[in-house]
Amino acid sequence: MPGNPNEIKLVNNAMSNATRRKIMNFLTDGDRSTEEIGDSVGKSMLDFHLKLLQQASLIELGEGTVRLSEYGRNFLKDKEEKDSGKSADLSQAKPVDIVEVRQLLPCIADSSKFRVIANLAPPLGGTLKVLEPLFPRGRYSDRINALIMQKGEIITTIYGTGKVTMTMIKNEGEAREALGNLRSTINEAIAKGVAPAPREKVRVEPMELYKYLPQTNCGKCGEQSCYTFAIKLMSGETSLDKCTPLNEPKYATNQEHLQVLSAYI
Amino acid sequence: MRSVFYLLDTAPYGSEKAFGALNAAAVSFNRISAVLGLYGDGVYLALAGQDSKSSGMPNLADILYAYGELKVLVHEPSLLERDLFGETLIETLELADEENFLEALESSECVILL
Repeated sequence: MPGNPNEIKLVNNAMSNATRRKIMNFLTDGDRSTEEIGDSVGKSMLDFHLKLLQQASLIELGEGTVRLSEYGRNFLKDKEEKDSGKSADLSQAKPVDIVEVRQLLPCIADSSKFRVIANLAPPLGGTLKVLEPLFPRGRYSDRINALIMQKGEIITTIYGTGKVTMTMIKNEGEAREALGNLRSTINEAIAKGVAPAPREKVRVEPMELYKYLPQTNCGKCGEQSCYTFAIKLMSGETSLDKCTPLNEPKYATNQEHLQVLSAYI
Repeated sequence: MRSVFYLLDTAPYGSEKAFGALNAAAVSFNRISAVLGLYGDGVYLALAGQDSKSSGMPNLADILYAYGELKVLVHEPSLLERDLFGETLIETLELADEENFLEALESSECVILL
């Protein structure tokens, strides 16, 4: 049964292949013949995949039959619990800290901005998924075990292993401030010890914002048109209070709608 | 062009090929379907814990983390040939057998070898 780091590496690498994941899922219903597995996932590379799964102690090969090993069965069970968020216990999580911030290269899209990489310790692992509702524009990716969130034009990715990356950062100061806010948000949730309730995802489009703007293109906000203002509002380059006509009583309902929508940006 | 496959078959450090392939893939993957395929010595880019300080080059693993959603396929036979299958690999990558790797390469509208 895999226990030492080298064996765990073999398991991780064995499960990093789509065909082998299919084989493992196929075996959850019971033992299968190699013929049946071949029919399901394809025969040409079957021996190769079965060998790697066996080396990782995830399956056992008999005479023409394949079965999940006890370790393989437990591995899939743990994974299922993790995916459903059942095993992510926030009450056991420890407060995180930013242990390293490195400035990377200029962003490809805008060479005046930077991509930054940092490390969060201890790593959040499976707990990351239950933190998704904390971030209005955040989504958890199972494929890479990472939480990806956008605030303004900054995209932040937190990996289960503790790595944090940020794009479109002006300077190290801004990175440290954003990372500090991130740490506080996460630690606040950990201190409460309760996973935040899943919230409804609202996708805000510039056109929706535009619908509630005065659409007079008055230019008081400093932008050429209300649509430009909506786009900049989406990217965090401007704020709602710059649109002063919205303070007029006739736009009161529109202003209320926009305030609600802005909370999801 | 709707899909592109960047094929990297040289070691990540020592030349700018890997850096170039990575940046090209990172620029395109939001607009079109882009896959970075690591083949031959290119699979060394899949290793976690890279330290590029002595080479004076940027840490390419960091770039892979910065673009975690970029689809990167690692050619498994190349990993096995180099005895790297038991090493810790960057978790955002997908391993592909010979057949799946070729299928991804053939199904792309354009292949760029850097």
